[in-house]
Amino acid sequence: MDARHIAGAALGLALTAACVGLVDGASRAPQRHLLADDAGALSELVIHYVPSAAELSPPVYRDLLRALPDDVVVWVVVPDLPAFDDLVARVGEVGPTLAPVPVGHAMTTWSRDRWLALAPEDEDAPVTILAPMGEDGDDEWPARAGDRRTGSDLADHPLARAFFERSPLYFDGGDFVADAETVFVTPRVLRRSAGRVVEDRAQLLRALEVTLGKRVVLLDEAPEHHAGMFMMPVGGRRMLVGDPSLAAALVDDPEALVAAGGGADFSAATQARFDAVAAQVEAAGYAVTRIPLVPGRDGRTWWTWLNGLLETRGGEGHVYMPTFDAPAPLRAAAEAVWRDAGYIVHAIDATSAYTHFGSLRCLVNVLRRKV
Amino acid sequence: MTRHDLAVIAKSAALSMLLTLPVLLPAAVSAGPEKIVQLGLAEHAPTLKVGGAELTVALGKPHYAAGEAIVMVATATNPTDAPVHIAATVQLVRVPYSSPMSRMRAMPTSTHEAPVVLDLKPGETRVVRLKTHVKMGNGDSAQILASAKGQEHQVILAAAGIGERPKDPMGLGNVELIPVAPIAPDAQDMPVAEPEVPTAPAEPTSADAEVPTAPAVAAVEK
Repeated sequence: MDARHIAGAALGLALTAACVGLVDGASRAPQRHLLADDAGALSELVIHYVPSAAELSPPVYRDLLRALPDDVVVWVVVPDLPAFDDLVARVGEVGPTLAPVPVGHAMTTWSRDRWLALAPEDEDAPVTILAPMGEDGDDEWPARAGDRRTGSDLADHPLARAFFERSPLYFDGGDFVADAETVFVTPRVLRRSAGRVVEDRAQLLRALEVTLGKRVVLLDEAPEHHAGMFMMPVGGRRMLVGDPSLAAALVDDPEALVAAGGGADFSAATQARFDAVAAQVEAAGYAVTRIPLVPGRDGRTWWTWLNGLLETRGGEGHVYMPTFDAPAPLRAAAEAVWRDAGYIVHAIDATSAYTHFGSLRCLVNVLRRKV
Repeated sequence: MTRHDLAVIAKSAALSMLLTLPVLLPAAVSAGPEKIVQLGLAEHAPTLKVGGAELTVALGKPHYAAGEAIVMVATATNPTDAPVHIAATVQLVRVPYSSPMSRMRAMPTSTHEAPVVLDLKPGETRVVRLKTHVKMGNGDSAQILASAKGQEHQVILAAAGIGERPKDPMGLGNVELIPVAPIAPDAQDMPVAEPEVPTAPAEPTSADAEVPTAPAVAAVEK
């Protein structure tokens, strides 16, 4: 064997390594990722409806469905077909196509928390509906126990083009917000899964990154609510984060706001939780803009103009922004923040929903976007 | 370098690829994307790991009626061959009943906090009862949270419904609501955990013993 043979063998080994690396890298690259909140056009949405929530969700759905483009498909998960007919009658004539998904069991009207949508690399391929191991309160709340099944009910629909998977982790869909590269996760997910499914924070982070196909930022400290209530990505590594102090400065009697939640909570401790989120998001490399927000003293009833749906359509950003029976200066200030962020604002009245601890994004899940 | 030299190099390269590629490529192809199951995640009874020992805490009995003072039972097990010192904080949290129309449960309120400090011998298990004066209402949910001293996160160790679920699905009309004050800011300095059985000679006990025959040496931090 001379130098030519040795050089040839080395070249062959290098080529082999390159081939294996390419194939291995390609097969290990995330083949699905958590759908971003701020990218692409809304294509398929999912809402839940039960007649007992007739005063709660249909007013919100009606505003939204009338504002959405006609090419959107909305899957309506209902206990039975009469419930679907009831909703159709309540929302009236709308542009999007409404497709019923009758499930035949108890459920609630809140779709967001039931599952996460993992988008495939090929946007025409089936979406993965990833449901948590359990619902918070499903042991003593029959409708919530039924909610545990609605993800697989939807995937079973012959036209839904979706796979169903159950994660071993415990979470609500609302515990996550995501942009193209990062998923932000509330501390509650760690509290519910640690000691039960994962050993510690590091193992949860690893599990989430593998599952969601994106970088994960687990918030250290945050308001005790779902992430979409207090933060929302707006593209280009920018994030809006709620700020109670901005709202308090806009009205004469701030403590009297959100009477349904026992008055507004402008305490230093609550403000500090919002500020902690802003600081951690900035540390993650994001430009943060603060937006007025009014948390109620009950910790659950909030006026939050962040809990909307975003899309990019025809090169323009649109936000379907919830509104409430709140003083006009608050809404105007929130709208101004969205406009400054480059969004066309479509106001959706969520007054009927916020007293039940949620808002527009909480009621509407996104199954598919067109990027 | 002549054309013949290049041919020899190419031939050697091809030969080495022919020998190595069939062995290495299939493994890479079959690796595929990592699945979450490969991370070894599996559901098990909630435990708090403290220095090699395991702490579980449950309610003192399967069902509490509305207005009944709640007792927690902490079980600490040291499966290791070395002594372990456990220092943890246990919290009893009340999640008030809320309308089934709600998106999520009402805001949890911490009602009782108890430090649990134990020195466990190798292989030892100890059971400690933690009495509280906390009473909850129909439809409330009791949660037990724990965190190890110096550990940043809490773990939910148990949850259970209290009393009877209200029959009125739309409201609170027939619910007995018991206001529960949050713990005082300095409560963590108070001796709130009461070992039911006082110190005795240390003997290992079984984890399911309701009343420990051994030493609840569960020293309560003061």
